[in-house]
Amino acid sequence: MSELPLFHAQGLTKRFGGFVALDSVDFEVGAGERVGLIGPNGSGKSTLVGCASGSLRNDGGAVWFKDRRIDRLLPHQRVRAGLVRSFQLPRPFRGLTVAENLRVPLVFAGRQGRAQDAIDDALEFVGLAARREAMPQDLTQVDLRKLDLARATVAKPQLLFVDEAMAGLSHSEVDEIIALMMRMNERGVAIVMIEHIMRAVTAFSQRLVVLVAGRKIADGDPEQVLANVEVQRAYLGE
Amino acid sequence: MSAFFRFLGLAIIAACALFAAMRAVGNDYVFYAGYTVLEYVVLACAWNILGGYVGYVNFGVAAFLALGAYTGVALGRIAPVPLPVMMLAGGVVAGLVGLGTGYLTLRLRGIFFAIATLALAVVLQTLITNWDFVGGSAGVYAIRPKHVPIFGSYIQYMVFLMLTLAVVVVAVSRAIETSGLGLGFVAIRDDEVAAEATGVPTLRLKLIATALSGAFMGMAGAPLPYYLTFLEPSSAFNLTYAVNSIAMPLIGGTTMWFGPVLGALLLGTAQQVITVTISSEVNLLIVGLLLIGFVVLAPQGLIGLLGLTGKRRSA
Amino acid sequence: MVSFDLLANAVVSGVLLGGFYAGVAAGATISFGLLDIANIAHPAFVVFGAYGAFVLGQRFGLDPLVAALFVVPVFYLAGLAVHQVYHRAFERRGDDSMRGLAFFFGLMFVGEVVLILLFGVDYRYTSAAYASTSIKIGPVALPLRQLIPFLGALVILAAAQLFLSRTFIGRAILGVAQDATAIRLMGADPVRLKRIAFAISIALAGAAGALLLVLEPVEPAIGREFIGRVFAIAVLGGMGSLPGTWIAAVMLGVIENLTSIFAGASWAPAVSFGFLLLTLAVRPSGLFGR
Repeated sequence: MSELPLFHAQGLTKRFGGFVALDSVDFEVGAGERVGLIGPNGSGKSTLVGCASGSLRNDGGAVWFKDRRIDRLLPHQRVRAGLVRSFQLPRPFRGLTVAENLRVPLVFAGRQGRAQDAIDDALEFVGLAARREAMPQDLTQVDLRKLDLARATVAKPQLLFVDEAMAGLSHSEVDEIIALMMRMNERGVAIVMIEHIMRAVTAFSQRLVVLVAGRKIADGDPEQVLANVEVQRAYLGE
Repeated sequence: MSAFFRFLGLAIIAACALFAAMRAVGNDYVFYAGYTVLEYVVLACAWNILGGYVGYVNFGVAAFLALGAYTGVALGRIAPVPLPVMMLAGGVVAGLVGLGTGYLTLRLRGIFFAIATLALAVVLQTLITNWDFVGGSAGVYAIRPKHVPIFGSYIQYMVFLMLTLAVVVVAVSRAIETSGLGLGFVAIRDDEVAAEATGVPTLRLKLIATALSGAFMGMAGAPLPYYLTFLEPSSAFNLTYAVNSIAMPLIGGTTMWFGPVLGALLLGTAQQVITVTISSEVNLLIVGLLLIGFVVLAPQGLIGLLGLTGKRRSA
Repeated sequence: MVSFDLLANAVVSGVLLGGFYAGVAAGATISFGLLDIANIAHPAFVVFGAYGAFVLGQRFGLDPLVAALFVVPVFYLAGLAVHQVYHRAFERRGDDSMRGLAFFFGLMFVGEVVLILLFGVDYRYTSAAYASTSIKIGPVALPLRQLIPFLGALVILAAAQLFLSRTFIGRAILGVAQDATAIRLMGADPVRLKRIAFAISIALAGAAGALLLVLEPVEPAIGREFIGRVFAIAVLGGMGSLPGTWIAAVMLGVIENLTSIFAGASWAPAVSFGFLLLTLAVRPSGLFGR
C-alpha cells in the first residue's frame, strides 16, 4: 500500500486572471490504471490535462510522475519522461505522411535506432498499416483519431491523457476507439479518458473522477460515483 | 551519410562548372551580376531555413547582412584580415544576434518574432549610423586589394567565395531536410503545440534555426563592402534585401532547398536584366507583385507547380 | 543645460505627436489586437491616405480634412477587398500565418513602388494655410500642423471606441475577438464581422493619412518609420484597447521627442523599436495588458 502512484497531483490550482479554473484538486493515477475524468463544460478537465502535460503552468500545488516532481518541466521533457496527451481535435502534422507523423516522437525520444519497427508495429496496432504513406488530409475523422493515438503512444509512454477523442464520431466508431484504448491499456499504458460520451466513459473506466467548477466532487468506483447525488445534480443542472 | 556526400560532390561539380563558364565568358560584368545572384541564393536559402522549414518570418534580413558587412569593416579597421576570416566572424556575430533575438521573442507567437526582426533592423541601423568607428552615417570606403593570386581580379575571388558559401548553405539545407532536425522543424511549422506534446524541444529547435539562418546571412554580408567599395548604412540596411530574400523562397517553394535556389536564380537573373534594361523601380514592382501572386495563388511555389515537392521519405 | 522652456515645448510637442501616432495606430489596434491580423502594411495604407488627400487637394483644392471624408469610404471598400483576398488565401486555409505576413509585406512594398512610379521620391505637402500657423500659450508653442492631427486622431479614436462599444455590430466584433463560436451561435457570421472590422481599420488608416499630410510633408517610403511605432503602440497599449493605444502612443511621442533633444535626432528611430523589443522580452502582454 505504501507504493507511490504513477501520477500524483496534490492541491493543484490554476487561475486565469480572477477565474479559478482548478481549485486545489488532488488527482492520482496508478500504473496501468484506466481512469475516467468527467464534468460539465468549463469544470476544469482540460485545464487539468494542460497542467499535467505542461502546456499550462499550475499556480499552486505540485505534480509528481514516477517519483519525480514534474510541474516545472517543459512539455517535451514530460513527454520524454513518459507522460503524453492527445487533443480535443486531431492535430496531425499535415506536411508529413502517416508514418512520418509517428517518426517525430521516436526521433525526439532518442529511439531512432529501431524507429522503423516501432512505426510498423504502431500502425499495425491501430489498423493504419495500409495508410502509412497517406497524407493526413486524405484520412477520415476516425483514422485521424487513430493517428493521434498512435503518435502519442509510439514511444511507449506509461501514462496517456486522452482529451475527448470521440467527439463527432459515429456509434460504431466510438466502439472502435474504446476497443483500441482498451488494447493500449492491456499493453501497460495507464489512460485518463476525458469524455462527454457517458457510454464510453462507463465502458472504459475502472475509476471515475468528477470535476465541477474546478473542484473534485467525487472519485471512486464508477457506479457509486454516478449514483452520487451531487454528481447527478451537477449534470442535471447543466 | 554517403547520400549526403554524393549530393555535396554534385553540388561542388555544379559550382565548378558554373565558375568555369563565367570565366569562359571572360567579361567582368558577368562576375558582378553573378555575385549578386549568388548572394541571393545564399540569402534565400538562409531565410528559408527559418522561414520555410520552421515557419517563422524574418523581416530583418538586411540587419543580419549588414551585421556581417560591418563586422568585416570593424575587423578591417583593427587589423588587415583576409576576407574568408571576415566572413566567418560576420557569421558568428550575426548568428549570436539571431540567437539573442530568438531567445527573447521565440517563446511568444510567431508574429511577435516577425515584428521583433523588423525592430532589430531599425535599432541596428540606428546604432551603426551613430558609430563613427565604422563610418557612421557618412559611410566607409573599402579598398579592394589590387591583386589576388590565382583568381587575377578581386571580383572573381569574391564570386568564388560566395559560390563556396552557396554550396555550403545548400548542403546544410539538404542535410536538415533529411535529418531528424528537419522532421522536428516540419512538426513545429505544422502545429507547434502538437510538436511540443510529441516531445519536440521546440524552443531549442527554433533557436538552432534562427542562429543558423542569421549566421549564413552574416557570412553573405561580409564581402559586401568590397563589392560596393563604399558602404553606408542606408545601402547595407536596404529593404530590397528583405523583399528579395522573402520573395525568392516563396516563389520558388519553401519545402525543400531547391525552391529558394530556383527562386534566387530566376528572380535574381531577371532582376539583373530588368534593372539594366528598364528601371530598378519596375524591377521592384515586379518582385512585389510576384510575391503577392505566389503567396495567394500558388502557396507551394514553382516547385509545387512543377510537381517537384516530393513527399519526405520515411525510410 | 536644457532650459525649462525647451523641455516644456518638447513635452508638449511630444504629446501632440504621440496623439497623432495614436490615430495611426488605432486601425492596427483593431486589426492586430482584435482580429489577430498582423497587417504590416497598415502604415503603408496611412501613406496612401496622405497621397489621396494630396491628390484631392491638387485637383479640387480640397483641404486635407475635407479630403479625409472622401478618402475614408474609398479605403473602407479597399479594406473589404483586401480582407476578402486575405481570408480566402490564408485565413480559411488556416495553415499559414507565414504567407499571410509575406502577403502584407508584399502589399506594403508594391504600394511604395507604385507611389514612387506615380509621384517620384520628392516630398509632397499640403498648401492649407493653417499648416504654418501656431498658437502660443505662455512659452509653449502649439503649431496647428501638430495640434490638428492631435485633435483629429482623438476624433478617430473616439469614433472607433463609440462604434465598438455602443453599436450592435461593434459589440459583435468585440465578441468575435473573444470567441468566434459564441458569435456563430448567436447567428452572426464571424467572417463578415471580421471583414467589416478590417475595412474599418483600413478606413481609419486613410483618415490618419490625411492628418499625416497636415503634420508633415510625405514621401512614398515614409510609412516604414511608422511600422515600429504602430506595433510598439498596439502591443504596449494592450492589444485591442483603444484607450490603452492612446496612452501608449502619447508616452512614445514624448519619449521620442526627449530622445531627439537629449541624444540627437539620429537616435529617435530606435526609440519605438527599442521600446517594442523590451516590451516583448519583458512583458509580452503589453504595459496595459489584460
